[in-house]
Amino acid sequence: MKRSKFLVVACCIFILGLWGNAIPADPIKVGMALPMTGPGSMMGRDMRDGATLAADKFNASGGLNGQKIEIIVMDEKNQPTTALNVAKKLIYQDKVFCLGTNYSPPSIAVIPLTKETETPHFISGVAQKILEMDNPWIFRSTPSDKVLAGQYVNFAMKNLNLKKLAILNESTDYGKGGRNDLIDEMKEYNTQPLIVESYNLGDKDFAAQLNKIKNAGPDGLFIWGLYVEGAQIMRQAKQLGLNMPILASSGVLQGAFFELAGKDAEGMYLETYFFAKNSAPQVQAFVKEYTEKFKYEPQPGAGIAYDAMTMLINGLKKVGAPDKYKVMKEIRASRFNGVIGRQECDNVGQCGRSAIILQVKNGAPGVVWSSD
Amino acid sequence: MFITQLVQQVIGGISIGAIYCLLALGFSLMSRAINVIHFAQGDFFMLGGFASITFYLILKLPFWLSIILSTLCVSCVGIAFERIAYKPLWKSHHVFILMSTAATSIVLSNSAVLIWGPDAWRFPRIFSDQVLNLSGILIPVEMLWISISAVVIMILFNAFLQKTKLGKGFRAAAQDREMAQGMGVNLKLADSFVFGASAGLGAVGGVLVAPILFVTPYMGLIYTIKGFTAAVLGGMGSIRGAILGGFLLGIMENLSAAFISSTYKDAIVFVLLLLLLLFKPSGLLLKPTVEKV
Amino acid sequence: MKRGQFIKYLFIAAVLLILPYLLKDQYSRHIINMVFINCIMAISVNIVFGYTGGLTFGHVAVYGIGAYTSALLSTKLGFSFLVSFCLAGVAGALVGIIVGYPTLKLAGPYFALATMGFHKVMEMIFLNWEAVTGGPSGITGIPSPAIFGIQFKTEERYYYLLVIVTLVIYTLYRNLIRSHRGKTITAMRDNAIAASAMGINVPLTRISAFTMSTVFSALAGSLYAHMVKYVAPEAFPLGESITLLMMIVLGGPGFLMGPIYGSVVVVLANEYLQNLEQFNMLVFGIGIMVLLIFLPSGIAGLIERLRFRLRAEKEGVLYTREVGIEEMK
Repeated sequence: MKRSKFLVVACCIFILGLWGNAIPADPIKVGMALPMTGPGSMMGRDMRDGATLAADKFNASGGLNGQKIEIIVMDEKNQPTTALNVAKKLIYQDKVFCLGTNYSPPSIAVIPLTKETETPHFISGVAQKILEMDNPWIFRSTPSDKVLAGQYVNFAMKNLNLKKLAILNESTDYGKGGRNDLIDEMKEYNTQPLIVESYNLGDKDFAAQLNKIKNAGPDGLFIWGLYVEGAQIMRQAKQLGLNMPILASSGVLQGAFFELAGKDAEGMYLETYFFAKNSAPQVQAFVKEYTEKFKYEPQPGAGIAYDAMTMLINGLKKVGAPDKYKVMKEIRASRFNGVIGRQECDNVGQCGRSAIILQVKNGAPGVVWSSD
Repeated sequence: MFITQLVQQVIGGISIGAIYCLLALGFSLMSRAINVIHFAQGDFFMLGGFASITFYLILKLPFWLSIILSTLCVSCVGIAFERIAYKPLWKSHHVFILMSTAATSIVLSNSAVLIWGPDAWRFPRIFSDQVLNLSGILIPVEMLWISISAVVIMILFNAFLQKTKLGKGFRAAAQDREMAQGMGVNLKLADSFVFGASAGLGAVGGVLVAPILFVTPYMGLIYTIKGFTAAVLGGMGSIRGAILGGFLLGIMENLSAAFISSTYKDAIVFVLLLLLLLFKPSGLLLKPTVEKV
Repeated sequence: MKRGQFIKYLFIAAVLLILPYLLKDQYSRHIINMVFINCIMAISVNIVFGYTGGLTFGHVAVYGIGAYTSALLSTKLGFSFLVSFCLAGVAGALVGIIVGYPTLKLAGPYFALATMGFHKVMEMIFLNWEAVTGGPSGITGIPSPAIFGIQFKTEERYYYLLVIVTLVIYTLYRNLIRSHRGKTITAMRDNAIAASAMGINVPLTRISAFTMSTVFSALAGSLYAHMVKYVAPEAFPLGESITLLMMIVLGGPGFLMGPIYGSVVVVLANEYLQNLEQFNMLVFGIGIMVLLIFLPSGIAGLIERLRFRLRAEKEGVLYTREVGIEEMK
């Protein structure tokens, strides 16, 4: 009696063992704390879809020796408090291998956590502070605004010969950071902006600021903000007769900007790191796959997440196992041309490096300058 | 030069103020009838914008039909919410309805994202591109169209309330429900009217504004606050106050942005408002209520 | 204290004591801590809203002031947690008096607007006074509390700190409400003129209650800052005020335990709803609307009614029960 029982148990263990091998190993989880509701939700959707594309491609090609990447997305409503709650859930309950966050304030709230738990963490927010927080686990695929602003000022002063520049920025972290970076770069030319005005995210009327700028008489205007306000600013600028060259930041080239701005975008300059009509082969392939899969054209946010995931996937492939220490080392050693430009990580985690400047001519944007 | 700037800003203020008036009207109406601040007012505004874009752009209906249909549809949505969500709360303290309207705001904005996506939408150009230039003062023609339309609608609405039998009935219900009921006013209809009209006014605002400002699913809260501010400024519950408040708010915003600081303009407007409330605690046009303790 | 009540308190104390160990991971403990902080906020808003009857949107700004004050004092001036915490409370008191005095005279919507304005002004200050508040990026690296040498670095330790503070605040709040002054506040809520005629100094009572509420909010802010270790303007949006009001209405406005039930339900519900990804807010909104219809006296009202029915059935005697805001109508 005892022996047959033992035999049954042994058989079960044997069968389970076989079965266990047939079940794929736990997936490698990538947790993303994104703004899925609230005004930032567009970028949340973009990042989710960009990351999903990268993960699905990797899984379809066999994953990491059969181990697949699973993406878990949670809504942080673009608030630091919620972001921290969500990140803790992803790290402590879901035990994610890697975390991804979006805008700067929620990212900053989460950085001490990923530092303490030693979790690889990709960020899209461009605040300078992020790089100063001394976390060896972060990597940022978005080019820093410092670089973007710097290139833009160079372009304005050297290529366009503009001397008296005005700045109109959003009063958020993004806008103010950009403004500060522009001013810093102008200092290198021993000059400063003629007039600086700002507006709040969500504002719909910029007549007051634009009139003030017009009256100051600049020969060029930088706009540092996002696309809805950007489109409205362009419309009103044309209406109020501001005819000087307008140079808008990367946040403006997003979403339905061209539909919204229409004819008023004519002649303006836009700086970006992701441009869907970029002839580079990896960009074209990305745009094609993305549009096929999700039925809408990719935005810069998707490119940011895609390149970040590419770095993660490359690291996993090189190491051959989800060993976070080794993978992080590989991530920080990334050197490749991603869909949002050159990715070369430095010792604080800043990987994105490129800038492209476009000008809208005859209704279509064309590249007039590129850093690569 | 200074005068030109001043006039320019005032005119800009009046243009945007017309839109605030429509929103404020909705608030005052609601507040007068049922003593509730409707938190979703701005979201009906947003719905009006999206509805008109859907009818015009996607269903390709003519412009005037789109406006009418949008207003009707959104009014119906307003009445639907009233029937389903607010009516059962009548017996409770008014804060319940207040919270329900706040929840409505969440439901409407998040539904909008699911229906129309998180991106901004835009109404194609309807009004001409022209900009009138009166001795240095620039007035975009479309702003003119929109302001005039808003004012016309307000005049018509006011006429309806004052002159027609139905309108008078609703006003009576707002003042004294039992008496009005005794006089034969259909209270159910009156309540529906209040909500439908508020939603409709908000929607009309959204429809008018869609061609010049873009519509995003989460724009509601900002407009709710603006409409509420305008209504309080003029005197909550007063129709004339709402109109005065709307224009005044627009002008105050523009002048603060132009002459003090564009970043702080919202804060400045609020500070001015708070000062005003110190002297006129019931808004500009209303006599102070007997809270004198 | 009767025996039944003693057992009830003992049970609650036992649960509170071992709760962190019943919860398996850091995330759950973090959420419980957030529940406590929200409880304190809800209590403070309930004092103004549920009892004084004033619709307030400003308490999140006071919470922010408390958070920033504590953050600044501990990071830039190196003050210890206790000092920063207390000074945050002082800041809250000052706000209560300075803002309360002119605005408490205003009626319903005007008062609401004034508090909204206050929030907006503070938001602008947090965002733009970069030298002090760190602007949009806020203040990072806020230290964990260290009280008399005990470090409160982990979520479990912070939990106990929060339990103690919350209990103290709850006791103060309960004493306020049940005291003579509390009853006068309730009287004032429903008929200010009559109250005044009975000799109650309405303005003073209102301001002192209001100030108490702002002190609580500021203290909650300080606790928040040292727990999350980061303050930024985005952490104090106007929408949060609406959520707090929802907690109170759901919990039962004008009931003592109302804010506690409300904050527990709302915070936990929000976490469960996370599973719905982008639908979470929509379901939340619909849920609130449904609950408002089915809980006309809030959760506390429901519980009161059940207790009342149970007791009446058991002992056949009429007990007085707490009456919330809606029954006074």
